Amino acid sequence: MAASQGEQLNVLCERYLEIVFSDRGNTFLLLMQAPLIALLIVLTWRDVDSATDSLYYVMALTSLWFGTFNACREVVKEGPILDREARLGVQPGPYLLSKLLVLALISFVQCLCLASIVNRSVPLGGPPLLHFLYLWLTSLGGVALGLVVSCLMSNSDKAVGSVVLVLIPQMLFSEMVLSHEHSSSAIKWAEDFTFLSWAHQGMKELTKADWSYVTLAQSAFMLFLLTAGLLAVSLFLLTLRTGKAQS
Amino acid sequence: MRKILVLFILLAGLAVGVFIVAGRVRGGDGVDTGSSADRGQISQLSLKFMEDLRFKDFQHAASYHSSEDRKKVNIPQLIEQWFAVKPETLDIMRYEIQKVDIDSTGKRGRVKVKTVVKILNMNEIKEPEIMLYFFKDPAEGWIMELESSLH
Repeated sequence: MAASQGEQLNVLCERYLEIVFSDRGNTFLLLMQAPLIALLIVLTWRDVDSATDSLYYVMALTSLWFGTFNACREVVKEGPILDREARLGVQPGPYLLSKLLVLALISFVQCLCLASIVNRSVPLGGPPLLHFLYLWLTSLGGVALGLVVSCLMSNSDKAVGSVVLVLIPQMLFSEMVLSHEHSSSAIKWAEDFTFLSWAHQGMKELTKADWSYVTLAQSAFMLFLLTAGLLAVSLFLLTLRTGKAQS
Repeated sequence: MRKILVLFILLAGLAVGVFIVAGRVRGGDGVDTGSSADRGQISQLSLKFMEDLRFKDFQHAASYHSSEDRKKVNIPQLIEQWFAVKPETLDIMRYEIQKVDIDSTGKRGRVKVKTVVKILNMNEIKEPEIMLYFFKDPAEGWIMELESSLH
């Protein structure tokens, strides 16, 4: 009899965590990215000791990249293992959730390093803990985006190559790149589907003296909604794949 | 799963600790002190003031000064002093806050604003920096200091 979804989730989480910790070189590289990029950001903004809009944009973009790159190979590299285990009864839901939880942990550490190092030299304006939470939510969005890429591609190289294709639109459709007075309504509409716009809006709102809780909640909710949407797509793709493997 | 939850709880504790400690150690030299609400407030006032200048709403731009200063404030003259051009030939294209300082008493603040302006009759683009000075009035809150802004 196949194990319940909860038991599967436990085993898959433990195993994935062990794989991550046992690959010390790669994990070290992943965790070192954040402080190194944070130092480069500090170097760029060191003469501006109050945060600028562009700083929030760059930090949100960095977090999104962290999440997407962390996740983009994680399903595709285990393709044959997943197919074999699907035949033995492993469900796509627990499998996807195990990836999400472990990658969320890595993103948490990365965003914490990024926000704390930058905040030490360039005060972020507003509570840094909330800035960190927006960055983490953005990074989780990146993880969801990376998982979709990973489910779609047939090998790791293609997955890494495709990351640029999904991240460039995220960067382009932003008020920071082209102000609203110059952008078309189609671009403004596209902005609503980018993590960067919502993260940027939330972080900017935090710097105001009189926060609008509605704006803060709206930004966080939209980040959550976009992430959930992409995870649903990943789940659908995984269900198709495991269904094919079982038949 | 349990391991992940424990790690999350530990990291969340670490995150809260890191930002609380960071908040306590910051300060000194009269820079970066003051609450983030104060810093945010004078930043917002500065941005609104710059927006008023951009759209030549001199009457509203004067409203950031104390009720006494409002009567004598001459914004076009202020513009001429800052940018060395007549207001009618000035197009403020962009502005960005570069630095916000609040002194150790928490009652004086200054905001450095970087602007990108176009001198219309010369078709020339300049990037002057402006320093706006504020003081906290017990009754009126943060107020732009006219004298220091002028000199």
